[in-house]
Amino acid sequence: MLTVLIEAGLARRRGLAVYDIPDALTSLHHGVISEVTGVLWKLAGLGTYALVYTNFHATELPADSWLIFVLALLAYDFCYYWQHRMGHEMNVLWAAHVVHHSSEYYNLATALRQTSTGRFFGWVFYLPMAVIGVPPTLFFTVAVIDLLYQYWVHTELIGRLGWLDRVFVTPSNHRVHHGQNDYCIDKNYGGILILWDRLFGTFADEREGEKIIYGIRKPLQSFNPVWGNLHYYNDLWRESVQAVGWRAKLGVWLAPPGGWTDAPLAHFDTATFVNYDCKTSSAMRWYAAIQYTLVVPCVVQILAMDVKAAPLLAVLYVLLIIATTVCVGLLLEGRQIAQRFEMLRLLLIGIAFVTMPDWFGFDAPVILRVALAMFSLASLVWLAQQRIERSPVGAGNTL
Amino acid sequence: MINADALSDLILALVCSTLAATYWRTRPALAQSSGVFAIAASFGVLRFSAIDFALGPHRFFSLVAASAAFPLLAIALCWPDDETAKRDKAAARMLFLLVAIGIAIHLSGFALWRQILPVVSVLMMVIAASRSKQAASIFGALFFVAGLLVAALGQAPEFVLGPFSATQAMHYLMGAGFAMLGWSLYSRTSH
Repeated sequence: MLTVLIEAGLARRRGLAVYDIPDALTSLHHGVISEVTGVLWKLAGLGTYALVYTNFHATELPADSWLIFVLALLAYDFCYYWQHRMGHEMNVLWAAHVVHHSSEYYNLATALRQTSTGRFFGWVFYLPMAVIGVPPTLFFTVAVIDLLYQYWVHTELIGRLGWLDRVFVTPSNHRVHHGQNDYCIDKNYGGILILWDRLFGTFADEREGEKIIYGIRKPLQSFNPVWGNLHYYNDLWRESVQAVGWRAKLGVWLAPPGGWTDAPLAHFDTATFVNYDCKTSSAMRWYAAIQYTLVVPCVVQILAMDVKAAPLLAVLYVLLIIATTVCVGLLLEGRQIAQRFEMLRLLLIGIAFVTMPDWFGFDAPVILRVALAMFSLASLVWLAQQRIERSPVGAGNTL
Repeated sequence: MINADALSDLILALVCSTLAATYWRTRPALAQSSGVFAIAASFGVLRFSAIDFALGPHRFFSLVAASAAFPLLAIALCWPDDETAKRDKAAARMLFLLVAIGIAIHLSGFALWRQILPVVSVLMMVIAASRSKQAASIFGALFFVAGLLVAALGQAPEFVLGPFSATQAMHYLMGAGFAMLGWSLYSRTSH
C-alpha cells in the first residue's frame, strides 16, 4: 500500500494521470478477493504440486544448494512464461487472467489486480518441476520471488533502462504487455527474464512516440470485482451455449480469444479511446478508500486463521469480505441498489462486531468494538444522505 | 543392461516415436498422443534398466498417457476433421485440459479414472475402426483392446503370448496397435 501511495504522490507531482481512484480501489479489491479465495483453495486441500512431487519425483534435489536455487528460479520463470502465454492464448485460461488486464491504468495497484480463478489450471504448467524433483519448499520460494519481482514493473514512472530492457522484464517492456495497441497484443509474457520472449518470438520493444492504451479490447466497464473475475467466463458460457454439438461447445473454451482464425487482428484506434469513468463524487471516493483500509486488517486476519479448524466460519468471513468489495465497487459505479446493500452491510457488521463474543476468533477490546460501532453508524448516516447517480462515460473504444 | 521388460518398452517407444514424427504436421493430435506414449515408454526403458530416477517420471507419464493421450488418440481417430485433430495448437490444448483433469482426479483419490478413460477411448477407436472397414484399423484397435485386457488382468494368457509377462505383453500389444494404426493411415494416404 505504501508503494502505491508513494507512486501516486510522485505521479501527482509530475502531473501524470497515472491513477484513477475508483480504478485503483477496484484493483485493490481484486487483490483482496484473490487472497481470500486462496483460503478456500487451502480448504479444498489441493496442494497439487506437493502431491505430484511426493508421488512422481525423479530425484530429491537439495533445497539448500545455490546452484539448484538458481536453476529452479530459471525453470520456474520458463514455466511461468508458458503459463502466462497460454493465459492469453487459450479462452479458459484467459477468462482467469483477463482480470489482471482489465484496468485501463497502469500502476502498482494494477499489479495487485489479480485473478481469483487462476488456481484452477495454473498449477499444471509447473508439474515438470515437481517431476524433476524440485522440492515444494524451494518451489514456493522461487514462486514468491518471481511474483514479487513482477510487482515493480507495473509503473509508468520508470522509463527505459538500457540493456536491462533487453534481458529482464522491466517497466518498459511490461507496459507493452498491458497495451491494447496493435503492436502490443500477445507480446512480452516473461516473468523475470524477457529472454524467453526473444527466444520464442513474442518480444516487442516499447515504441517511442506511440502512447500505449492500457486495458482490454472489450472493456470491463465495471468496478465490481466479482464481475471482473467472471465476465469472460460468462461470455464463454453464452458462446458455448450457442455452439452446436458438444465438440463445438468444448472447443469454445479451448480456442484462442477471438476463435480459431488466421485473419489478422482488428485494428485498434488509440486516438478515439476514452477511459471508463463513472464521475464518482470525491466524497464517495474517500468513503470507498476508508472502507478499503478497514478491509485490510480483516484480510490479514483471515490469512492468519487456521481455516481447517473452522471451515464454515472461514467461508462466511470470505463471503463477508467479498460482499464488502462488491458493495463498495457498485457504489463507485453509482448504482442505487448498492446504497441499500451497503447500508444493510454496515448495520449488520456494526451489530455483529459489538454483540459477537469474538470477531472470527479475535477477541476485540471494548474500545475497539465501540469505535467500530460508531464508525458503522456514522457511515450509515452519511450514506443515507447521499444521492447516488449513475453517469458513466467512456465506452472504451469504437470497437 | 537391457532386460525383457525394458526391451518391450523400447519397442513401444520406437513405434510411437516413428508415428509421432511421421504425422507431426499432418495429424497433430495423433502425433501428440503417440509422442506422450513414446515419452512414457522411454522412461520405462530406463526404469526397467534399473535406473532409479526414471521410476517417478515413468509413472507420471504413464498416468498422462492413460488419462490424456488415450482420449486424444480417440478424438484424432473418431473425428479427424475436428479442429482438435487438425490443428497442433488445438490438440495441445486438449491434451493440456485432459492432463489437468486427469491428474487432479487421480490425486484426489479416484484411481479408477486412469482405467476408465483408456477403456472408453479404446471402445471409441474400435467403433471408428469398424466404420472405416479397414483391416489394419480394426486389428490395430483390437490390439489396443487386448493390451488393456492384459493390463487389467495383470497376466498374459499363456496360449497367446507364452513367455511374456503382463507388462511385456501390454507393451507389445500396444506397440502392435500403434503399428497397425500407422499402417492403416499410411495405406489410406498412399491410395
